[in-house]
Amino acid sequence: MSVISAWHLAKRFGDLAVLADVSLAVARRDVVGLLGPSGCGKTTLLRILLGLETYDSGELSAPPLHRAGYLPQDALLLPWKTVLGNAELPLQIQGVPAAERRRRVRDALPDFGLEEFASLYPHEMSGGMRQRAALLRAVLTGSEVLVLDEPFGALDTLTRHRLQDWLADLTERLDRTVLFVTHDLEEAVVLSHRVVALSARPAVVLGEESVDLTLAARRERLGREFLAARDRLLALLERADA
Amino acid sequence: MTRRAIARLPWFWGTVGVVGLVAVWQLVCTLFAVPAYLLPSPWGTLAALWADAAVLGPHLATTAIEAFSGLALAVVFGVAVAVAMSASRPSRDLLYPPLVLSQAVPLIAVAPLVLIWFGLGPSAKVLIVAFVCFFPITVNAYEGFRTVDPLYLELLRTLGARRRDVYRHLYLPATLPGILAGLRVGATYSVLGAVVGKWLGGSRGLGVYMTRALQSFRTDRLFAAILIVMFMSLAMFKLVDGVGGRLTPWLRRRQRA
Repeated sequence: MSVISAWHLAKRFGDLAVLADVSLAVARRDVVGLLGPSGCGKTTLLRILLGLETYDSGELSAPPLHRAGYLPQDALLLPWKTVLGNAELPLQIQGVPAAERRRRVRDALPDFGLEEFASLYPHEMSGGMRQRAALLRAVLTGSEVLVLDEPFGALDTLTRHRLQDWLADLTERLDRTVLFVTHDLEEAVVLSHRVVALSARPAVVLGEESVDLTLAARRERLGREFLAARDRLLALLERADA
Repeated sequence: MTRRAIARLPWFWGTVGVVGLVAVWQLVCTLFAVPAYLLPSPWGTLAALWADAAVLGPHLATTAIEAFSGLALAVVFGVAVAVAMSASRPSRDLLYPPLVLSQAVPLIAVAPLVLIWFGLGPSAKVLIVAFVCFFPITVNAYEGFRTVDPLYLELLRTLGARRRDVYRHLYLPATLPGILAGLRVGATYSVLGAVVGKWLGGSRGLGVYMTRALQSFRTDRLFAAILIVMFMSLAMFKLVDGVGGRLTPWLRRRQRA
């Protein structure tokens, strides 16, 4: 059963056509990467799916993601809340009592490597810590679907690799539906079970590939399997130019 | 401590400025033998303060309470107006012009009317203080509401936030530094407002004391009262600063870092 399904979505901002024809179906427990060049409308697509943006034509079915675990591009942690305060926000909005939500945040902190940083404010944290805190907030929504917009786009290479490995491991254990956006081939290989490739703006779906790698193989960025998967994705993207 | 280390203390140059000013003042009074009813010397002012302390106490308490209540009223009213203005475009257009115009009203001219409307009791003075203080608070709070990053709003929506959640978790904390900035300005106005309110009537408060001192040519007492007003303004300012720092711990830590 699909938790996200969109048919022939199209969207323009004035004269600028952003999405030409995008169809997408994401099944429960699937981990799907939306791969496409920068500025191709990936973020717009996510925003449409989240109900934050309207669309001009096409159809959106399955329950709309009005409450999703959303990790925006810039983390968007509230500057006046600590890690703890930011992470417990979804629970607070849902009316979970204070003691209970504190307990749930504290239980989750170690998995996110934030155990010792619960009382830090966002500006006191590194970029990687901020992304993990924002992801923790997304996970604690309890939502079936996690929507991640270039989760590690703004980080340095080393930190990015480390967090990609960590997230690949985490998504295995979380057992949730994940839809994420990236322009990075390697990130797509490390994280996704299935990749949907989008063309440059105005976006159409170029095709899709499944990525059947073990967790260990996903971490071997120079491994044979990894590189083969990466090449398949590259071929998919280059189809547009052919 | 070396001489340089002393000069680097945060309050060093402030103290030098104030002490220097007082020294010049004392020097002028002594050198030119200025009569005390024209310009009392700093020493004479302090002496009057000391001699009249028992009388000044209750006046000071009255003024302090009025200034504080007025300021509190201004916060409630100012934030409420800011919230109303931020609610929609028409409500902003409706409220902004009268808000600005209200500041063009010459207070000295209106204050007697306010006293007639609300009597000589404390409520009239509190209202005058609130009237003087609410403008900077409203404008700063509104600016805070207006400049909230809409991306945060969207994020809260994906979390299923209702209107009150948005105010509680986003608008109020985002606006708090602005409200506090307005409050700091308002705090210094408040004491002045309470004093001016008293010029116009009533039987207690520093304004009354000042009027009496002036009428009996006791300029030293007038200066003593002015001194108290200055320190009260400073104290109010510091109080707002202190409370504000506690309310915005995320900013305090940033300054330290």
